[in-house]
This record gives sequence, structure tokens and C-alpha cells, in this order.
Amino acid sequence: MPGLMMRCARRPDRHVIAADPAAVRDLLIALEQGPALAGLTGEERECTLLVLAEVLNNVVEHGYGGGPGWIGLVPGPRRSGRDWRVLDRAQSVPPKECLQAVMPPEAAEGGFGWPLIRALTEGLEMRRWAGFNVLTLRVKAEDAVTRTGG
Amino acid sequence: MELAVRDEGAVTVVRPAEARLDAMAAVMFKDRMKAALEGGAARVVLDLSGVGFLDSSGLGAVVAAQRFLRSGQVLELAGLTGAVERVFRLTRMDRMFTIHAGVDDALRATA
Repeated sequence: MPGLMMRCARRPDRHVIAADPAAVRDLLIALEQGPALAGLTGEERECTLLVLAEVLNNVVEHGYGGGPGWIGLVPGPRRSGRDWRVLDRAQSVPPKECLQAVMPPEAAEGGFGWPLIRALTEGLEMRRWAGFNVLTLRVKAEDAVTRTGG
Repeated sequence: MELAVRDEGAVTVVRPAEARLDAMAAVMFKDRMKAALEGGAARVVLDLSGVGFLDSSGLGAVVAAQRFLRSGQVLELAGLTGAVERVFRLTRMDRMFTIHAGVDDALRATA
């Protein structure tokens, strides 16, 4: 079943999707093919899509726990293609420790999501605002990713 | 997430049929890999040259597939695209596998 995805009629760069993996996948494919990431290098585009996948899937799996809900994705004020805000109304909020998560040891089968997000972003910030969870992020520019081993 | 499985001499080559190994595909990938490994040769090469997107769920599924290896059986990787290679490198999971540039390289190499 294709995921539910809507664009705001007045602001087509704003997206609202159902909190399910199919909708996340559809949104990422739409972003990959659309204008929002067109100004990025290939590496920046790949990293942005990966970071957004991790963030959105976290909301689906842990925020809403697989239950119904919605997720908003809004470009940050710089409109760089690397700046994004993710909004949801999940009751479950990621623990602050996620922002310090380190790569799991060898042979781990999970726990890579937040460390990957951390490795590829800067200015990562989570806050609760008027009943919304708001995650603000900026994917590192290509030269910064290269310096950090990406 | 279907897998194409073929034998190349003493090596079983497994190739995902889709370009995305993500949260949506991970569970089925793991199931299909389990079957492929059970019926596979002692050396199995996972050809990822057609996979352009891998997230942490997909990575976890590849790592978890090692649980299904029988004694003496090995799982190696080949043909990692740039985006996929980056995920393995950042998470240091590239240290967990023998990784070949392509399937041909894997077939030329000895286990």
C-alpha cells in the first residue's frame, strides 16, 4: 500500500506524511527527484536523504511506536537543502541521550540510527513546543563530512 | 525485497532485486537471506551493486544475516555503491565483512 503523503498547497516544499515506513520511503523518493535537494552535491544529497530517513523512521518506530500519527517536514530558514525541521505529535519523546549516542560496538545489529544522524549533522536540536516535538538539523557540508570520515 | 540467488561455481551470489534496502525492506530481506544462506554454498557473496540506498535498518539486516550462517559458511559483500559504503564505514561495520569491489573480484578471490 503506498504511503500517505501530502504537500501543503501554498508551500509545496512543506510535507506532511502518515507515520509509516511506506510514506517515509515515498517522501524520500520525492525529495530525491524534486527541487529541494537540487543545489547539493551528490554526497550532500545522499547524506541528507540518509539523515532524514533515520529521523523519520525514528518517529515512526519509537515516537509513535508503530501506531497512527503524522510527521511534518519543513525546510529550515536557510532553504539550503541541508536544513530541515521535523515535527510530530508523538507522546514518546526521544531521550536527550540520543544527542550523545555513540556507534555501537562491533557485531551490533542495531543502534546505528542516532550515531549516524550525529555523524552527518550539526546544530542538532530537539524541543517540545505547543504539544509538538520539533527536531531541527543541518546536514554537514561535503567538506565537513569528508573531514569527519564520512 | 526479493533476492536473486545464483551459483557461480563454489560460490553462491545473492543480489537484492530492489535499489532500496531500508526500514520497509529490512524484515523481508532478512527472511530471504536466511533462506538463501540455508540453501547456499560455503561461501556466499551479497552483491550490493544495485543498492543505492541503505539506512540503519538495512544495515542491521545485513549484519543480522550473519546469525544464519552455518558452521564454516562465510558471508562476504561486493559492489558497494558510494552511499552504501559510507554507511558501512561510518558505523565501522566494514570491519565485520570481507568487502570486494565487485562480484567478479569476489569470484576471483579465494575465501
